[in-house]
Amino acid sequence: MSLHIFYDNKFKTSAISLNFIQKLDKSSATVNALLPLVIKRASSHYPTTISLQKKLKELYGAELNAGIIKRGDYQIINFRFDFISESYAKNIDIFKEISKILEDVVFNQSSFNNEYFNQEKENLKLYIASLKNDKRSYAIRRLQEIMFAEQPYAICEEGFEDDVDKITIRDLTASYKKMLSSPLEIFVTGNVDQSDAEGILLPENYFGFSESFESINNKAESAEVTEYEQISQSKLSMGFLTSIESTSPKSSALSLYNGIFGGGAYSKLFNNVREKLSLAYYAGSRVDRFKGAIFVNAGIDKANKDLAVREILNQHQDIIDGKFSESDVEAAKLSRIMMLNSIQDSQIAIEDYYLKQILSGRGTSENIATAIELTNKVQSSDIIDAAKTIEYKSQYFLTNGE
Amino acid sequence: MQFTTTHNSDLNETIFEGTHESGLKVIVMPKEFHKSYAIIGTKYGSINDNINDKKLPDGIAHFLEHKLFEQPDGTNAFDSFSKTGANSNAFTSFTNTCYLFSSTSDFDENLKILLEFVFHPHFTNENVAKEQGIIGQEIKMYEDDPNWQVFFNMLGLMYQNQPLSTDIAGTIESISHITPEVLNECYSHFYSPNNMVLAIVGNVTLDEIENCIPKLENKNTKISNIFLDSTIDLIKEKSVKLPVSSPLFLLGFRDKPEGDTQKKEAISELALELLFGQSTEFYQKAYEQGLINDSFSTESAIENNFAYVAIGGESPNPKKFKEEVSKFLSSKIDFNDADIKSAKNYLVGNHLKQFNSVERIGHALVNNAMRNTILFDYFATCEKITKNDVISYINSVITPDNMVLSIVEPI
Repeated sequence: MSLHIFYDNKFKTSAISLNFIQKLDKSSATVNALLPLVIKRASSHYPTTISLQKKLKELYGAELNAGIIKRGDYQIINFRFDFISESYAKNIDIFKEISKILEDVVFNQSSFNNEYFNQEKENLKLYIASLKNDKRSYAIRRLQEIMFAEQPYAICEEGFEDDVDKITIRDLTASYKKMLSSPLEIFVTGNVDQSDAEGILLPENYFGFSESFESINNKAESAEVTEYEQISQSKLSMGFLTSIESTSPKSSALSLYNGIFGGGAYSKLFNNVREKLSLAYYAGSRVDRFKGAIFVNAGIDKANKDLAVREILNQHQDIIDGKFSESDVEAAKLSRIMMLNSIQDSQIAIEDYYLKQILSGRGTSENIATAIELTNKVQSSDIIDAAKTIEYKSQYFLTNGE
Repeated sequence: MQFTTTHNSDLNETIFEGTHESGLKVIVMPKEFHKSYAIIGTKYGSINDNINDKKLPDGIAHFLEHKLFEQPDGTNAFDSFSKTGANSNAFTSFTNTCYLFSSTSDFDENLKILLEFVFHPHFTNENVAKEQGIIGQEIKMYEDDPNWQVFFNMLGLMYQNQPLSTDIAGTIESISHITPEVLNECYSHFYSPNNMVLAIVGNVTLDEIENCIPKLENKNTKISNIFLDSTIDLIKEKSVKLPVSSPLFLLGFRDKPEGDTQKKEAISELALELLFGQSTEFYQKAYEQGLINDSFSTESAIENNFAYVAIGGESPNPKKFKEEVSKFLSSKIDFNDADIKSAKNYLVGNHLKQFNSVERIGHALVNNAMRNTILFDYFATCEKITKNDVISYINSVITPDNMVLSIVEPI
């Protein structure tokens, strides 16, 4: 079943999120990124952007967002409708109106407007170039490209600037057909009527994601790269690799390792790199479960690079050596549990959580209560075992000067 | 404590408001979410640059915000929150400083921790010295942030040499003059309960909240109002270079802070939507010409001591875009009733969305309390606005002569 309905009348809005799932590939990445940009411009019933936007505005400012989501090696073409729910929309059958627009825009495009196509090609090029603007996230992106070079994961989910110009309308049409025959996972959340949700007209041949989950290949490069830009604060990112897969029973221990290491204000990175040594305003880590990777990032002074790297590696070693307390474990558990309990308070968080579950082969059967139970069961020794599987691999440093 | 109850049946929400014996205002919105959220704010921000005309170092309100987390026993408030799993944070804006947490359990304990650390300052030479490095990094981080730079530069064009254009964190030089003594002075003056608001959103009862508030002195301090001159000459344009891929810009229109702030807020939001919204001819034409893209947005900031609206985003040619805006604003501007109705629907939908989030509601409650406006009234206020209100506003504020342009361009 790939239509997932999460009814909750505490939300004032309803949301429909459509996710077409494909593997990241150099030959298709760019045209896939272009597709949602052109699709959301117009449709058969709304042949101009202004007519579609006017209609959405009338529906109490309903939003249509379209773009790409990257999860592991997957490039997901996402369309999301976000609108106020029935009870607040006076005299409008809003769910029905949105469903009609959805069917038209997403499933029944007949021909793409040539001018819109050309405009969105320019926009895509600008967007890819702009990924360098936020230096903090750019430093993580570069680390990922270096650490997983030659693997699908290193492919930018928005494609390549140099590949945009050669895309033709024919290419786009072909990729649209391919999108429609890709696995599709739909989430409907909020104050929704079950029968309304099930009434969305989906194409006959659609099907959900059921690829068997590929195990982590445990392959990553060991490399250290420094690049230069005219910036005030240098950005350091470091990548670690683990063999623990997201379906492994050790996965919860890995999450708690990350909590203790760099998960928040209670973590070793925050308390040592920032508070004790005053080296940084932000210093933290996060796990990408699909790749078994842990990414650390910190904003520091150029002169303190070696000190920061040493301190980060020391903190990791400390966990392997068991140099953390029961209260550190407790803090990491409570923080993770709080995060898990909070998921139900946000429609986007619900969609994201269950999409990740589906992509890692767990379906939507492992619910949040189970995740909490597993978290509580983790012991210090499990965390040490998890830490021992983690190896430092690569580093990226963005700094000033030459 | 006595609480008054206001129920809004359109929204299906209730607010309880009361004043603690110390003067602290307490506002509560019950919400059956998993998270509960508490935020306490004081009317002290970066624009409060003096105490009775004695000048304070730039960035001190923000520095104080960092340091208040230190506790007398040498631990940090984050340490206390880590024992209950709450997520805590703080921020300093132009007009207020706020401390907050969200949690899915142990609400009472967390609220006590929050109020304990906010009402027990502990500034020492050692902990002040340590923060210089951390905030120094924060300042550098913002120096690299093109959105932050384009925004502050715009404020500088509208409010040159006024406290509003000073960076909230100050500079590395200005914060080097901060001592525990001056921090204590600021704390004593500005952190007076009568100057503060506590807002709580979540699965809570009024009794439990009252039981968590410690004994507080009613200092009844009078904070002098900061006057910002909204009549000084505008500087028309400023451009700086940063390592960005293409230019970004903000086009600002300065307003005078007079009249009903909530009404002005609704009118300005309506005006921006009618002029520059995604469904307008102007937007679509500029978009098709490649002058703007999806990054384009509009903003309205209406407070008791300053007011402005701004539009901006990425553009390959901000000056050309400004010319187009100028031409557009010089032409005859009119809207039909259907446009107005549609724009109002849009605003209603937008404002309704904030009620999905305990954090957004909490912030909105504090901001409204600081500004002496009522959150629930927004919808009724919006409903009453006429076409004339909007056109008048556009003719007096959103005019070609009143434009300032801030640009960040590639190196």
